[in-house]
Order: sequence, then structure tokens, then C-alpha cells
Amino acid sequence: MIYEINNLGFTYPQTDRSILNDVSLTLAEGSILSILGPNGAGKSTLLNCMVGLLTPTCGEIKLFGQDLGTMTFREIAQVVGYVQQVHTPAYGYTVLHFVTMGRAPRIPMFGRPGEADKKAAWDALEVLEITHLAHKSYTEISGGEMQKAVIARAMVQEPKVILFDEPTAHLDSGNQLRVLNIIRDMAERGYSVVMTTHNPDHALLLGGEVAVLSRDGHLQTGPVNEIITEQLLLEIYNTRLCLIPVPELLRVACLPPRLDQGGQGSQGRMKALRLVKPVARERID
Amino acid sequence: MPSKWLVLSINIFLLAALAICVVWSLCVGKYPITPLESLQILYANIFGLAAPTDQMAENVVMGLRLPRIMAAVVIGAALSMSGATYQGIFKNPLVSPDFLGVSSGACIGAAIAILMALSGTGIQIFAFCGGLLAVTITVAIPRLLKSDSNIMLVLSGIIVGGLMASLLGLLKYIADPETQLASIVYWQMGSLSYVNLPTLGSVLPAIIISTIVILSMSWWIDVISLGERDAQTLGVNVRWTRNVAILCSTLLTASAVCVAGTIGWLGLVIPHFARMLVGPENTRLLPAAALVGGIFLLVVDTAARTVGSSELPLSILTGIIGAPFFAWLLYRRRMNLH
Amino acid sequence: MKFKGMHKVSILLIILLMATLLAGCSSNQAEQVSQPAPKDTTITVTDMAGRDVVVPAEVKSVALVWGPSSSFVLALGKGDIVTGINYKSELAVKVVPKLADVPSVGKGQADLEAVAKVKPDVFVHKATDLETLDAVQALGIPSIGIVAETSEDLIKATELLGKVLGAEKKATELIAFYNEKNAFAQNLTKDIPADQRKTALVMGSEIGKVAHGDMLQSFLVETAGGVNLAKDIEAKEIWPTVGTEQIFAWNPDFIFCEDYTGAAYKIEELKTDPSFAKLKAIENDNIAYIPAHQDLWDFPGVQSSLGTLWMLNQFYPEKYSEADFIKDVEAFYTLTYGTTFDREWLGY
Repeated sequence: MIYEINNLGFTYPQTDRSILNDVSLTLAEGSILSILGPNGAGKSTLLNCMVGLLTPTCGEIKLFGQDLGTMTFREIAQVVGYVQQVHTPAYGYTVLHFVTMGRAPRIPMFGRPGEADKKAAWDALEVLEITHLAHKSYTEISGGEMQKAVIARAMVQEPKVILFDEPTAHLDSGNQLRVLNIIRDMAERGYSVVMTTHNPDHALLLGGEVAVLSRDGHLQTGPVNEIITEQLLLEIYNTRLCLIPVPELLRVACLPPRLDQGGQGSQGRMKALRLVKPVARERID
Repeated sequence: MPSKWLVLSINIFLLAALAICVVWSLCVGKYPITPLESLQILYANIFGLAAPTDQMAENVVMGLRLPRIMAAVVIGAALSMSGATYQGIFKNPLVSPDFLGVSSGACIGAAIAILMALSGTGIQIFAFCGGLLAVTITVAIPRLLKSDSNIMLVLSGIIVGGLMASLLGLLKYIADPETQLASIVYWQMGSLSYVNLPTLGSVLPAIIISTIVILSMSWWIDVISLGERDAQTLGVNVRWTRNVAILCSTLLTASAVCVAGTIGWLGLVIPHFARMLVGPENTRLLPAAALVGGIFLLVVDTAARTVGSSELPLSILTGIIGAPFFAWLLYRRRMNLH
Repeated sequence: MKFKGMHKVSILLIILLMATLLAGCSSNQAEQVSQPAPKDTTITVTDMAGRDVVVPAEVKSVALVWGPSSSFVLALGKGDIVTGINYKSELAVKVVPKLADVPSVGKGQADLEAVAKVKPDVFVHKATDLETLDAVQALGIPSIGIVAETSEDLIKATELLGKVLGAEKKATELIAFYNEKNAFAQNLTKDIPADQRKTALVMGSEIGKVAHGDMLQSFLVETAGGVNLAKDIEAKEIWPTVGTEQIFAWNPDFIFCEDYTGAAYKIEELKTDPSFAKLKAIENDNIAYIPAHQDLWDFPGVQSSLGTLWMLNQFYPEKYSEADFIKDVEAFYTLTYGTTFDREWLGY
């Protein structure tokens, strides 16, 4: 087991609202886990607890059998890569330099990266097909490219598991799919992968396990196709979402129904109808 | 981003420029010595040859110009590295020893030591403690307000700087005007006119040690400059690393204050200029900033002692050059401040 | 590796630089200690900062950057050997015309290379500024520190400089005149009862800044038989600010003002200001600048006995008339510079 999380609870000190409540979770090597939940349910909080950025109020987290609280950041970083939501740093380091920083947990203090570290970084850039960005300033590339650079940085840590916090947020549709493909690819390369997302369709696309955080901070886990039901989606998102098999795509998709009559201008409604109708007609029950 | 060869050539160029500036500075001054004589005196002294005939010329070159040149280079380098390090660890391009209140804190420490009739090492220790106290308060205020913004840290620096200025005013008020006040004012103004080798020698060990530590952790300053959370998930003990870096750069600033008083703008502007030359990576930036800072302060100080009938305080010159340059930088880079 | 190599080169260069600097330190320090070879004859004096200084027996040139030191050197008749000076009064240039061409070697603080350039036999400066004294001494130029804030100190400073500059006879004459005039003023006013003595304030560059008891200006007032109302003000700095209200509360008979070009007020303005109209000093027109415009009589130096005599004449004209006073002024300048000056020009 990589992670064994038992009865985890987390409450932010300033507020009394508990974010995580009696959360238990196990993560086996080579598995894929998507964490779903509404906004504010504590998906990021759970990941932050899992890398030691936040200390849980109660419960325990074991990483490879060792209590996380007793581990240093360095020990954690040697087995866990964390892809946080991208932000622009203060200085425009080159993408290569930025990715090389992922070697930090494997470089002695006061040391600096050697030739092997540079090569590892370059290899990661090749895997993500962004070698052409190597000498560009990290502050001057697009959001999708930044996300890839952050993923590359997590890869060069050579971790056992990579945690992705909302990796598809703020990306356009093309980049969202590219990132999901990369994550899938990472799993095939032997990394365990944990991803938070607010789009249930992404969990369906990725497959594997899913963990659903409810509004009150409880968690239920299981294989994607067993856990995700229309009933559950209604509960967590407070709105109707449909699970529809799409034969052309050989998968079940999670789609919203057509928009309500209220709130939309008539032109918008007509547009929505035109878009939705063909799909509805060819719908197979 | 310049290539490694370009960076190497830039560093060699800077080193050559520094050497030229040192020789130039050694040859100019109000005392009439030909450049050739100056170099002969230097040569004779280095290799222990017979002393030249003009004793006063030798005193001027070896006793006045050389210590001053060395002090200008060392202090320019120390303040620039200190500024670059603060900018890195606070991931904030707007901070510097003077903007964080470190310089004025060190100045207060030195003033208190003067009031307590301490000298030499005592003044250095107090200056260091004063600087450290100031930077601690400056960093604590945004924490208390739970704000991580660059502007908040700068505001906090202004608050601490203002407080320190008032405290310094108070100290000047209670100082003995005949003996202590002049010394305190001298610290405050920033000048190298009376620098001598024993003073410089006494701070040199602290400067060398801090420089070595900062240079050897320069890559880690890059990691920390990504932000605290990023650095932690990359396995960095942020608190420890940052504290070591703050200690070293504060020691650099305090040492500079002990020799030359407070010299403004240098620690803010030089790292930016060096970044334009060699890029933002601290492994390249710190050595380049040290060289540029050394050259800059040497040129400014040589101008201060040769132009005009009486010497100008250094802060006046660095401000006249530094402030407009910084404004131009802000315009040119449209720096992201948040 | 390219970064690493780069870094190693840079560190090496920096260490090399530091090492050269250190080497420079050590090789130079030995040189610093050796003083210039003693001239044929030298004398050793203890200056007023308590330092033992070796000076040539015959001093042929002297450099100054501190204003008050020039009045001592000039009064001792040694204006012609000054080779570096900051402040040159019109009086100084009138007495020693060649001073007009003497360069400045620093403003308050010494410009060390400029001092080295004029190579004076001695450098005279205030004893409280040890940094300057030591820095000039390190150049191999004997530097003498003097203090002149009290009458005892200014006598000592005159004696010391008389000895150093080879003007002992002149120094003795000046001190004798100084002591005689002070004793005369004290003697003349010693029988005036405390409650009939005139009260006075000496005001500095701003209204509300006054001379306290430790200052020379206060000594002048008290020697002239007056009472300095601000003499008990506890202050370390000179010219402490007591405020306008305190001056109204004291309501002195006389207000003497520093003749200071940068002052924040003018006497003429005070005289027409209605809020000051009820002050005794204003009502009786007993407010004036301390003369003389060309040779400040309340500044450190033997000329300050004239300040005492001027106040004596202001306070008690019935005991010491204006004619007596003019006679004494002319006696002083005849003794000091061998000439007298036009009253209008001198400014008293």
C-alpha cells in the first residue's frame, strides 16, 4: 500500500467548520484515483494533508507504512510528487531550470544539480513533448504549457505516486484532454496517480477508482463505474447530470441535460436546442 | 536567457571592467600623482621593493586610495548579494536591505553601541542584531495580517523603516552632541571617506563566510523563490533554509553598514541590472550581482571623492542614479507586483 | 554541468578577489605604522583630545576645515602660513590677503586627499571629531585637536596653538587681554544685587532655541553681569528648543540673537509682530544681533571677550559707556592684527 488513511478529520483553526470528516482511503501501487466533490468539499485540503502541507486535526495518514507526521518534507518528496494548480512565480526561470528543481529531494543540501539531474529533466521534457520550451522563460508560456512543465517537474522527482490538484482547471478543452491523456500515460508508466477534479466526466475518462467527497466532508470510494450514479451526482452537485453511453466513443459520458427555460434569452435557448437535439435523437436506451 | 558561454563572457567582461576601474580609481584623486607613479607605488608595496621617494604619495595611494577602493568593491558586492538574496527568498523583486528596514535597523544597532561607548566588534554585533530585529518585524507584519502579497511586505518594510528612522532620531536626541552625535550621523549618511584597513579587515571574515554560504545555497534560493508550498512539496525545509539565507544576507548588510553607514538603492537596483545581464537564476545572478555592485560602488565612490571641492555622501549619488533607473526598470519590465 | 562549472569559476574568482584584497590588507598594514622620518627638531604636545602629537619645532604651514579653528590661527598672527581653509571671513582676507587664494580641503570633515595635496606641517581640528583627526594623522600629518566651548578651554586652545605654531608670546598677550577684560566686567558688576541684574536670553537660528548654561554665549551674559534665564535648561545638545511660550514666560530684559544667515526669523519681523509687542525686550528695543558681522564675538576665540564687553555696555551703559567700549574694541584689534577697522564695516 502507498497510502493508508484512517479516520482523517480536518478543521481549519479559524473556523469551526470541519472540512474532512472521518475520511478513510487506501491507495495501492499502480492505481488511479479520482477525487470528486463539489466546490469547497475539501478535495485540495485532502491532498494538502497527504503531502504534509496541512496537519490533520485527527486520524492518521500512513505513507508506505510510515506515519506521515514523522516524515520530513524531503522524505515525503522522494516518494510523492505534487502537481499543484499553476501559478506564476516571481522570476522567469527557464522551463528546463524550473523542471530541474524537481530534483531537489534527491540533491544534498548546499549541493546543486549535476549532469544526471539535467538529463532527467530533459527526459521529462521529452516525455511531455515540450523540449522546444526548454530555454523559454516559464513566465512567458501558456497555461497548458505551464501545467505540462509542472507535471514534468513532478516526474523528475521519481516519485511512486503523483497527486494532481485540479489539473484541468483553467485549461481549454484541448489542453484538458491532453493533460488527462498525460495522466493516463503516467499511470501506464507505473506511477500511482491521484487527481482531484470537479468534472465527473474526467473521472469517467480516466477510469480506475473514484472517491467522492460529500458536502459534509465524508468520503466514499470504489471503482468508477460502480460508484458514479445519476443519484450520487444529483446528491453531490445538487443538480441533474445524466450518464449516457455513447457507442461512437465506446464509453459512458456524463452530460448535463438541456438548459432550463428560465434565465436564458430566447436566442440562446434556440441555439441550445439545435445543439442538443441530434444527440437526443440518436440516443440509445 | 543567455547561454552559458554568454554568461561566462559577461562575467569575464565584468571582472575585466572591475580591474580597469580599480586601476583607474587608484590613479585619480585630488593629490597630484601620475597614474604611472601610483602603479609604481602599488607594485613596490606588493613586492616589498624599496619605498619610493615621495612618502606622502605613498601614504595617499596605499593608505587612502587602496583601502577605499577595497572597501567600495567589497561593500558594493555585499549589498548587492544581500539584496539579490532577499529578493529570492521573499520571492519579491521589490525588496532590498534598505526597503526591508535592515539597513536602518543595523544603523540603530550601531547607534546604540556608540551610545554604550562600545567600539569595533561591539558595534558590529549590535548592528547585526538591529538588522535582524528589523527584518524579523518586517516579515512578521504580513504574517500577522495573513497577507502574502508583495506590496504588503514592501508596506511592512516602510512601516519598520519609518519606526527605525524615529528611533534613530530619538537616539540622536539623547546622544552627546560633542562626541557621539557626529559618529551616529556619519553612520547614517553613508560614506567611505575615513575607511581604513583595520575596520575593513574586521568585517571581512563575516562577509566572506556569508558570501560562501549564500553562494553555495544559491540554487536552493531559486527553489524557495517558487513559493513556500512549491518548495515544501519539493522536499525543502523552507523555514531552515530561509532563516540561514536571512542570517547571511543580514550579516552582509550589517557589515556594510559598519564600514560605510547606510547606502541606499544599491541592494535594490543592482540585482535587477544583473538579472538583465545573466538571467534570474541565482547561481548565475549572485556572482554577477556581486561584480556589478562592486564596480558600481567603486565608480560612485571615486566620483564622490574626485568631483567637486568637497565630498558628496554616497547615498545622494546612489539615489540620483538608482531611483530613476528603478523607475525605468518598472516601466520596461512592467513587473508583475502581485 | 555547465551551470556547475560556471559556478565554480565564479566562486573561484570571488575567492581570488577576496584573497587579493586580504593580501593588500596585510602588506599595507606594515606601512601604515611607520611615520614620516622625524625632521631635524620636533616637539611633542598633548592636544585637547588627550593625544600625544609630534609636531615640527618650526611649523611652516597649517590646514583647517573647522570654522572656529581659523579664528584662533588668525588671532595668533599665523594667517600667512595657512595652506588649506574652509571658511574665510572677509576679515580674514582683509588681514591676510593671500588667504583669498588658499584652497578648501574639506567642509567640516577633511577631504583627505586634498589635505595630502597641500601637505601642511600640522592640521588643526575639533578634538571631538577623532575620526578626522586619526585619519589625517594616519597620512603622516600631525593633527591637533582643540576644544573651545568654554572660556577655560579657549584659553587652553590658544596656549596650545601658540606653542605649536611658534606664537607663544602672541598667545600670552591675547590671553592676558582676554582675562583682563573678563575680570574688568566681573569687577564692574559684582556689587549689583541679584534682583537688579538684567535678565537676558541668547536665541539661536529659530525662535525658541536658546543658549543653555554650558554654552559660551551664556558665559558672556553672566560675565557681563547679566542673568541667562535659560542657564538651568538641562540639555545635551546645543541650542535646545524651549519654545516661544517659555520665552514669553521668562520675559527677559534683553534678547540677543545669533547673527546667523540661515536663521528662520529676522529681528525686524519680531519688532513688528503684535504678539511679541508686550515682551520687555521688544518694548524697550533691547533686542539685537550679537556683533560683529565680520568677526563673530560670541564664537569660540579670544575675540569673545568683546562679546562680553558689548553685553556689558548693553546692560549697564551708565557703568560702561559706548565710548569705553569702542576704545576696548580698537585696543583688541590693534593688539591682535595691528590695525583697527571701520565700525560700520566690522558691523557693531
